[in-house]
Amino acid sequence: MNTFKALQISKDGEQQQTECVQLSREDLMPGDVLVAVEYSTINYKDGLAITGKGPVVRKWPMIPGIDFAGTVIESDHSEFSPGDAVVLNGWGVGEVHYGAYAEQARVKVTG
Amino acid sequence: MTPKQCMAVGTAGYTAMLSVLALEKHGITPDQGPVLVTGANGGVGSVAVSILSKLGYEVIASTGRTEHADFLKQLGASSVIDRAELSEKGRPLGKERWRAAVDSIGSHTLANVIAQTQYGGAVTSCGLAQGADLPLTVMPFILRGVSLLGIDSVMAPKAAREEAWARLQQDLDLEKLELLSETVGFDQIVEKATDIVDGKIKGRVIVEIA
Repeated sequence: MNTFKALQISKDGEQQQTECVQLSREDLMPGDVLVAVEYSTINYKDGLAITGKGPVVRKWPMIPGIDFAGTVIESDHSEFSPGDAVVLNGWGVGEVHYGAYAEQARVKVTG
Repeated sequence: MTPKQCMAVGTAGYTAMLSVLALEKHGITPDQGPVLVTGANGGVGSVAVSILSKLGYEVIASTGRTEHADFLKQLGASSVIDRAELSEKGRPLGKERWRAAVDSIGSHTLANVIAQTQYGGAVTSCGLAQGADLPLTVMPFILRGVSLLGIDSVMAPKAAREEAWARLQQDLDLEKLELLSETVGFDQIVEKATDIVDGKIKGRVIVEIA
């Protein structure tokens, strides 16, 4: 998959916009593990981020979504290998790091 | 759990589990008295009701949507109360009604929940649906020894996450998880995100990304 869809929120002054965009892997933020996202979820916090009713997003533009479940595509980290089923909750993803509402996500391994 | 079931749990469900673990670590047990869950129709609340009832606690569910009382009873609530009882500015101390509580609402609701907690009880704070303020007095703490336990899921260390997910596997009934979750497509994210902030979502929303 050369390009994939993502939900992006951006800010123009005080106005917040949401649009569906096509991204490539090069557009994702740096990280150790690239994941094919299969499922995500909508938490109250995701609602605050998308509607702009709460100060959740702290970097713009952002791909929101604080939770995902999917399969590892590529990994530079010894703990994860391609094909692994993974779940992520939080860690600032969807707030300061591109998040779950995209068909692919690249994240850093912590801890 | 399947990837889809993990997302039915999500941050909201895992936060509910962290709250239950915090109450357990404080020494709260089912024989001590009922546990109140506020925002019981919400994501944290619906999972908390399910887990606590499975563990044998008597669960009092507080909601603004009492029309869903049957749903909450199916999840395991023993009784359902109207959130209006808790949402307005209240007295510093009230009648002792519950031994513990899981609160995802904040503001006056959390203040009233604490003011009506039994001697030696504990309340977890894990949300702000009513507001981020907390207008209360020290009276419940210094006269009743009530504890307020803070719950963060975002930066929780790996060990705490592993413990919470292991306990979710054990103590969350998958039939209840199915009952409390709906699945939507990628193109419904914005609509459902608006609904959740407006208090129109019951339980958990799973998004099918690919």
